[in-house]
Amino acid sequence: MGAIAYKEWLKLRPVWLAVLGANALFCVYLFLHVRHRFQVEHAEMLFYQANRIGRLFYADLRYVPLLDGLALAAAQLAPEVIRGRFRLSMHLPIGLVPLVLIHLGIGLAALGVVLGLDLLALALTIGTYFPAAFVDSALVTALPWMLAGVAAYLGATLALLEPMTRYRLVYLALGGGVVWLCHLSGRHDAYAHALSGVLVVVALMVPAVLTSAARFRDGGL
Amino acid sequence: MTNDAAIRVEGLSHRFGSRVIYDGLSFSVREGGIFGLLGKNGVGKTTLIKLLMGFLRPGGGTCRVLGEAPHALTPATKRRIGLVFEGHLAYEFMSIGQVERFFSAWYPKWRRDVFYDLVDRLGLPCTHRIRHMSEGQRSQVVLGLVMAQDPDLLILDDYTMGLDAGYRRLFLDYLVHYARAGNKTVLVTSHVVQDMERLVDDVIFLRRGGSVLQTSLGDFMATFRHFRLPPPASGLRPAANGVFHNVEEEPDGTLSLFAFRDRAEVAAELRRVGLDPAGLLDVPMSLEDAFVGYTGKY
Repeated sequence: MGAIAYKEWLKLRPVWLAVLGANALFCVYLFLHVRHRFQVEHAEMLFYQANRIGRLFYADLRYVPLLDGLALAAAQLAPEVIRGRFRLSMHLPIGLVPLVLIHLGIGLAALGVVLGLDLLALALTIGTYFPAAFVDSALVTALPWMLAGVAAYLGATLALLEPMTRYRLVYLALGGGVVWLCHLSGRHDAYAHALSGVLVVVALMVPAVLTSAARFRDGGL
Repeated sequence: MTNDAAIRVEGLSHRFGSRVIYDGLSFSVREGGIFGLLGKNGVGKTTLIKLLMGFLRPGGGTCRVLGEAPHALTPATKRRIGLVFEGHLAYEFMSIGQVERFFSAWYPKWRRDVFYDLVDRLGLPCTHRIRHMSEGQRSQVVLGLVMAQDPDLLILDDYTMGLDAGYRRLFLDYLVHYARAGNKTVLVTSHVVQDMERLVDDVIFLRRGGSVLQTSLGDFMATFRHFRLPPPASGLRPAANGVFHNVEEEPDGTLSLFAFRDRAEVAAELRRVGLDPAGLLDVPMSLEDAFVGYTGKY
């Protein structure tokens, strides 16, 4: 576990830091954007827009996790699948399932830190200018976007690890479908009663990665 | 086959689509021996290594590596197998020091001194990244990693790929010394057949379709012979048969006859097919000559 974490850290570090930095900049932008709205408009008007019209002052965040997931999956898996280097790890004295799950866990943890930063910045930004009830609403609204980022990460992982073209196309469609499901509605609180269901759908992509990895080992190259 | 085989292949068959790679391939690699797996491009050497390491599933037959099926190698057995992938596959985002640290965590018998004894000869700092190395330098790092693992069985898939003569010699000298001193079992494939003379005890010749000849290098070189016959005036050309293993016609019409028979038997066979053996010459062979004679030029 420790050795794989060390390898993944060496591999992911440049891209992860770049993604983290880009998200930090985006968070600053989000804060400044909301602050600017409050500087040029009355707070009552903005509360009305948010509460009655459903205007999202953080809508720019919507596709950021998606890009984060794709970037981290590419950074983690591309060096492994080019020339079949993942076979180096597959020959290590560890079973295939723990090997793949540890890799996935590290990738998801790296993504989780980035998405956690986004959610924290969103909560702080909204909490600074809106009443507390708006923070809960913003987080519930943004959570499916975060799950879309996770789905993008898992979908890209599936497609990159999958050695057979027909399965790769299926997985691309599947990953795209789950991402689409997470973005079906951009309205606030749209997924308030469906988050756990979406979470289960996204989680079901994890065992699929194991089957792709098994096919990779069994000679897809 | 012996009971103490490090690798045992029985009745192995495999195909890619309609193309048969092996059909009933059988051989064994005894413990403590150095075996060269030789064959022309496309006969399935790398495929065989992948099958042995569980990176392909065979169409039929069985393989056992250190007593276990390739797809079910336990972590304990994987620790006993050092594998050099074709093209000296390595994690190129790592530096020398990082790759040593990463692999050392997996092997209780890790020999850091062995790794650095070889890698220090490159004169590169530990912070040097593998992606910035030449093919030859990378090959030394990969060999150092496998030797530091202190495995019982080393499998090297085409270690010569991309190496110049100097690095090939360095690689070979280290490998021979290491394997002999530690009584290691080695299975190696290579395109550079002449290197095998310095390395292997036994050879396994793989031919298209999966026919195989397993023999000791000494026996092979002692029994496989090359004869040259001036161009026959009659235009007759003997065919490969029970006596002639292979017949090649040189550009000037001279016939090269390869056989596991002595001169008298070859001469008798020539007379039987209506050719005069008067000009028959024995030709000394290197292993590479014998390899080409055995497998054919085309």
